Amino acid sequence: MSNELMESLARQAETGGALYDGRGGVDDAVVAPARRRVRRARTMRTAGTLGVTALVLAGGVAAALEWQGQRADVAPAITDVPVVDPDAITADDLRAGTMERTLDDGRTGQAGVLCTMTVKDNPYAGANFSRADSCPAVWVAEAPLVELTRADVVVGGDGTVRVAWELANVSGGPIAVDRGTIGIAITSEPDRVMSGEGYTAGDRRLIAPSLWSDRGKRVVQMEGDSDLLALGTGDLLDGDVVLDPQMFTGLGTEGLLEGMSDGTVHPTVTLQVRVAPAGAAGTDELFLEASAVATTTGSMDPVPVSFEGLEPRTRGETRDDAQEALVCHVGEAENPRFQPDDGDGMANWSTPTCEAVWIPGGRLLELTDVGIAQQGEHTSVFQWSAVNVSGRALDLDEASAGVSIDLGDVGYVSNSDGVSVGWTPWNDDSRRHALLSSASEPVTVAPGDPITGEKTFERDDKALDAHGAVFVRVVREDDEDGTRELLLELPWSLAG
Amino acid sequence: MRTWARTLDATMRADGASLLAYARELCGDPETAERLLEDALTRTFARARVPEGRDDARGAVRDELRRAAVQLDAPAGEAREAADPFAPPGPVLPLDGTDASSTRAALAALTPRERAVLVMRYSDGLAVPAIAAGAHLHEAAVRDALTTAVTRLLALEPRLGLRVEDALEGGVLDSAAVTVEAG
Repeated sequence: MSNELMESLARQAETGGALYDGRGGVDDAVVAPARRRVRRARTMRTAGTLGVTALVLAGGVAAALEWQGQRADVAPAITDVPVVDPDAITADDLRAGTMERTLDDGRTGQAGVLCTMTVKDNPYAGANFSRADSCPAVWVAEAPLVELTRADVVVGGDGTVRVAWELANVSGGPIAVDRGTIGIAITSEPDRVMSGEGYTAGDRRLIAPSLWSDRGKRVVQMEGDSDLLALGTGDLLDGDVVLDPQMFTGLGTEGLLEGMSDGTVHPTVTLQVRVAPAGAAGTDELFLEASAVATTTGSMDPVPVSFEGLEPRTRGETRDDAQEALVCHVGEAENPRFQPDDGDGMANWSTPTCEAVWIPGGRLLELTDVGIAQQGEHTSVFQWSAVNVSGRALDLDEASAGVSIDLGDVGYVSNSDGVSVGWTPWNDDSRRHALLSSASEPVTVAPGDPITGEKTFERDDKALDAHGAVFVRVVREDDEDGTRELLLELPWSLAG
Repeated sequence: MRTWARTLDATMRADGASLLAYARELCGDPETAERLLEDALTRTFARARVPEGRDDARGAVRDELRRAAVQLDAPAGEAREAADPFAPPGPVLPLDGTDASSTRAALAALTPRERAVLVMRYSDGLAVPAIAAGAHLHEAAVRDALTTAVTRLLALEPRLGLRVEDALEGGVLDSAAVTVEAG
């Protein structure tokens, strides 16, 4: 042990003691702020009953307005509450009283999530990106501060899901919340730890089996433009969120849309509300969580007859008695064919995730020629031709044919004018990205007749020995229904 | 006045100087010490269960100081490479040519966590398990921080006579046996 080290440490301690003794200002600088923060935290914790009373009154007013039809259905909508309130509880006030929270720890109170990051990585401190993180779960207070007083889920006929929510401050004082960054999560099994399923997130919406990434951590999405306000006792925030069917094709969404539609899954809606810090955003971000099992209504329309009889297909599977195809469940609002024309003469394209299927009954189209020609220093042209081998006439959409060039695990993908070049388009063994277009030109291809296409894309020499697929949309009898699209998938390979 | 407020005021009247001194010792910086103490007071008295008396409160605030001190961020731009135990001592020049100032300079080379665990080990006399329990750290994290701190100090100030083995194996296990003398 080192006496000199201990003496040096002790001298610095003495300096601290002398600082206290020699400065009356320590009371102002240390004790008074601590006293204020303690008072706020204690006031909030003990004011739960008072808050509930205020909520009942506010709820009554809200119900009356709704009955009179004066309540707008907008997203996100917020009641009129003061923006600035110096007495509002901040994240700094709440952080002081947080406790570790774990799944099934048996406690109740205000749940929260506390994320720590460097300032340069903090999206609320100017970092130019959003992030979804797994952060420690915490108990913020012994009684709820906010409650989800409304969580209504409506499943539309085309699979579009609308979630309407209402959040109330049930504490005894105002809370400084960031209404611009409120995240909403839909979970199917909220009381278990995720077991590798992953989650799908974007634009402050998150779908997952559960938010628990392990027994002590929760997933939270950090995104959006800050918009701070003081949410007073009994004040309400409300809003609604639309989730298109494509949101339910990502990781962690398996069976959720179908389960909500047929009533076998009762989803839990969780709002994650960022509490504003006392000053500028720094290294800590605190989120309050409010959850409720949603009231679910509505159901998807039955799958049209055009899609009946399709059989599941896995990546790499081959069959001679069936045609490779894809079913893209996009919902009409997200289907380029049903979106308004930009008027610029250019087709709009999207790259949805689609389910791989077989159309049983033999092959329909077979590629007879595929090639890539260089056209100058920066441009390549993909040319393809196929022939109708089905023995019957096929109604196909010539203008919307797209090309996918799979370069493997290259780490980039370029989508342009109906050609997708780069990263492998397969999400998993049964789902992959395809291409849909706003352009449509139905043609009838007689048995034995060809159909051809040509696509220009930015030159990438790795494409010269790549593999991929051509997609040709099937024109269905119910083609005016844009909920789903059926594409024939024609695989090709230039390797060897 | 409420009970918690009375206890807080009484604690600070009696022990404010020693608590601020301890905070200063843990972090080495007067401004950070004030912030640490404010946070520690808030955490202690915002709990549902208020400390029952001055002694109870003083111990609780000290525990919070320890927990907060090991979580302090290193100042921006001062992230340090882990010390190479085989590297020769670096040419650290004493600030004013005295042993005391060169020891102070060596201490300033530590990260906040390294300094805090060093204080708990040598000034409070705590063993690694007691430091871990008091600071809410895993024992492995305490060992890592102590090893790095001692290695770094040895490289800068060999005459301090520190030994990694002593740092890791010495000290008392019961943190309650250690008290801070009023400044």
